[in-house]
Order: sequence, then C-alpha cells, then structure tokens
Amino acid sequence: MDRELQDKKLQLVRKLYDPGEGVSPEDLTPEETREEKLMGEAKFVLDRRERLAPDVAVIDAIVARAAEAAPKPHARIIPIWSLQRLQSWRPAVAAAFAIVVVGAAYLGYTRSGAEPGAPSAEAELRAPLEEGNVPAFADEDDAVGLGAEREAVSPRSDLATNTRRETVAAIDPSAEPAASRDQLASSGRLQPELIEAAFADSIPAWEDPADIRLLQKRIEMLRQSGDDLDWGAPAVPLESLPTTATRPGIRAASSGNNNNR
Amino acid sequence: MDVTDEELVSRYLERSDEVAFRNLVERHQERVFGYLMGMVRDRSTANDLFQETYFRVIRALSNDRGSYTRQGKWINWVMRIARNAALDHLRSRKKWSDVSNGQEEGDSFWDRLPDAELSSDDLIHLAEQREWLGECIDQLPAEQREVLLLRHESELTFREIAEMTDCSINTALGRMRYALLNLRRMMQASDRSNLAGYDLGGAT
Repeated sequence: MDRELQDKKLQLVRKLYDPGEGVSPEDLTPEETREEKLMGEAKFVLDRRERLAPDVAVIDAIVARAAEAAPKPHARIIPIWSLQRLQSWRPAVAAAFAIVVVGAAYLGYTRSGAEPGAPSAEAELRAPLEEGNVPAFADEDDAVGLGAEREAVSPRSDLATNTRRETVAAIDPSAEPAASRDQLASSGRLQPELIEAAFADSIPAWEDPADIRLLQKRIEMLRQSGDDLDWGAPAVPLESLPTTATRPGIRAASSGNNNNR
Repeated sequence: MDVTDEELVSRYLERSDEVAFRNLVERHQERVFGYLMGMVRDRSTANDLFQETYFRVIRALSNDRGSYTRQGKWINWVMRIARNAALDHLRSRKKWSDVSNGQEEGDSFWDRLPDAELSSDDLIHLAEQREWLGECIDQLPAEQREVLLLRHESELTFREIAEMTDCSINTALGRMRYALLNLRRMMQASDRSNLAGYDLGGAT
C-alpha cells in the first residue's frame, strides 16, 4: 500500500511536468490534490525565473580555443572500420580491375582487326577457296603459283595473325579505292579494247579491283602473243637469229660500217 | 528548420567551422550556465566553469572525438562534462559533501550581477526575485537542488537526469517532489514571499 501511495505521489510530479502523463484528477485524494497544488505553485515561480547567460568574453575565448584546436581537413581521422572494409574489398576490386583491363584489350584488338559484325579476315580468305570461285588460269603453272600464294595466306598457315591481317589489308578494296571502268576509259591511258576485255570476263569474286582485272588480262594477252616462244629452250646468240642481211654470220664492226655507207 | 546539434558538430569536426561551434555554444549557453550558476552561486566562478566545460569539450573532440558519439544528444554530453566540472570545483572546496546555506560566502551571487541594466522598477523586481529564489534553492539538500537545476535550468528529462546522476527515475522524481515541496515551504516562510509573484498565503 505504501508503495502504491509513493508511486502515486511520483505520478503527481510526472504529471506536473508532462500533463499528458500521470494520474487523473478524479483519482486524487484531497491530500494529494493539495500537494499537487503546492508543487504547482513552486514550479510556477521557477518557470518565471529569468535565464542567465555567461559573459560574451567567455564565449569568445571558447570559440578562439575551438578554432585553434579544430581538426585540420587534411588530417581527418579515417575510421578504422572503413580501412578494414577497404581491405576486405581488395580482392574483389583487383578482380574487377583485371576484367576491365582484359576487356578493354580485347575490344581494342577486335576493332583494330576488323569491324564488329563484319566477316573475319580468316573467313574472307577461306571463302573463295571453299566456294570454288577461283579465277581461270591459262595453264597449270599459274594455278600452282597462285596456289602457293594462297598457301601463304591460308588460315592453315603458321604465320602469325598479324601476317594474315596485313595480307587482308593489302587486298582490301576499301583500303585503296579501285578505279571504275568509266574512270579508266576516260583517262585515256589504256586501250579501249583492253578495258573492255578486262571487264568482260569473269574474275574472282573475292577480289574485284579494276587494276587487278587489267593486270590479269594483260598477262593473258602477252601470253597469247608469245605462244611461239619456248621459255625452256637454251639461249641463242643474237647473231644466229635470222635477219634480212645478205650475208649472215659474224662480221667485223668496221666492215659493217663501211657497207652501210 | 534549424540545423541540428549533430550537424553543427559535424561541420566543426569536418570543416573546422568555428562559426558552427559558436552556434553550438550560444544555443545552449543558458542551459549550461544556469545549471553552473545554481551549483556554485557565483557568476565569476560559473563563468570559469562554463569556460572549463567547453575547453574539456574541445579537448575531447580533438582527441578522436572523445566520448561523444553522434548518436547521442550533444547537450546531454556537454551537461555531463559541466556537471563533472562543477563537482570537481565543489569537491576542491569541500562544499559538495554538506549542504551549504551559502552564508559563508557572504552575499549571494545575485548580488554580484552587474547592475548596469537595472534601470527600471521591473528589472529591480526581477533581480530581487532572483536573489530570493536563489537563496531558497541554495538551502535545498544537494541532491534535490541538483535535480531541480537539471530539470529547470538544463531542461533535461527525468530519464536523462537519472542517467546522469546514476540513479533510478523514481529516485529522480522523488528528489524533485521533495525539492518542490521544500521550496514552496521556504517561499512562504520567507518575509519576501511577495517576490514570488503569486499568492502563496492561501495554499498552506
């Protein structure tokens, strides 16, 4: 009972400072009501008490001391937990950095080798061979010679990828635009018959520059005009060749001069 | 909206913003100084203790922020330091163990307040009222006086007072109850009860 009475009196104090709490007036005895009134009067006087502040000089001295002792921005203390967190993230950060570096290197490699989405150099080299789109050659020797070239640029070659890339770049039409048929005709440098013949025949689809067409056609025409020549025969002295002179054979230079006179 | 205490503390610690620290001091100066005044009853001593309190605060903040955490209330932390400073002062003068009536110091601290502003009757009345009320509070037992000052001057809650003085909330409430009843009794017994600004005669 005493405990309950004591708690009730404490509730009066609580109610005095926080009207929302404490006991309701109906639950109070006359003695408790009187005590509540006495405490309320004392509190009333205390609440009206004037507030006091320190001297301004004291405030200034405190602020001056605070300015002297203020932590410097560059000397900020890094909480220890943040250092530990950084250390725990170190492997993940290193792995992410490695992935980024490898990815960047791969992208740089592919962009320098070929445009994204375009057929690879290897595919371009293999395509004409597999599709049988081989140019017609006059004889087997030329075919063998070109086959040797193909072997040199073949993907099966042991040459490094850089070599293949250089080869592809060399035959890449886009690298150096070829002259069109009309341009060649208007230039007047070549005979019209040669230009017509160059563009009339079928040529390798994998390589279509006009210069190569002209070169190929010129080789064929030269070969046709020299069919009587035997490239495998031994060398013949110039003097032994038939001439229009009446006396064949070797003559002294001085006599030849006199005769000409 | 006013900047919070914790934000001002952050500005001072992270940007060396002394203006923020001044705001912190001025914002709570009456709560801290009023408590110190009630404890030592001397304005000059209260000024010294006020300065000592904030010097300790600055030292604690610069020393890896000391015991202050931003999750806690700034004023509670400062008031704890102010209380320690006041108790250190009172212990050094051996005045904390007994309940002093303040008479050995001569006149009350209210008498030492600068009276340059007492130019009107109202201000004179307020000064007399302060003197009278201070004398009454000074006669309270130390524990009751401290709870009263922490509640009325520092505006701490009873829970905060209990934590600061290391007692239960019921103990803090009980000390407050006795402080109010004793103060009311002393007011009525005084020959200057008219300074209360309240009719105290009919209550008894």
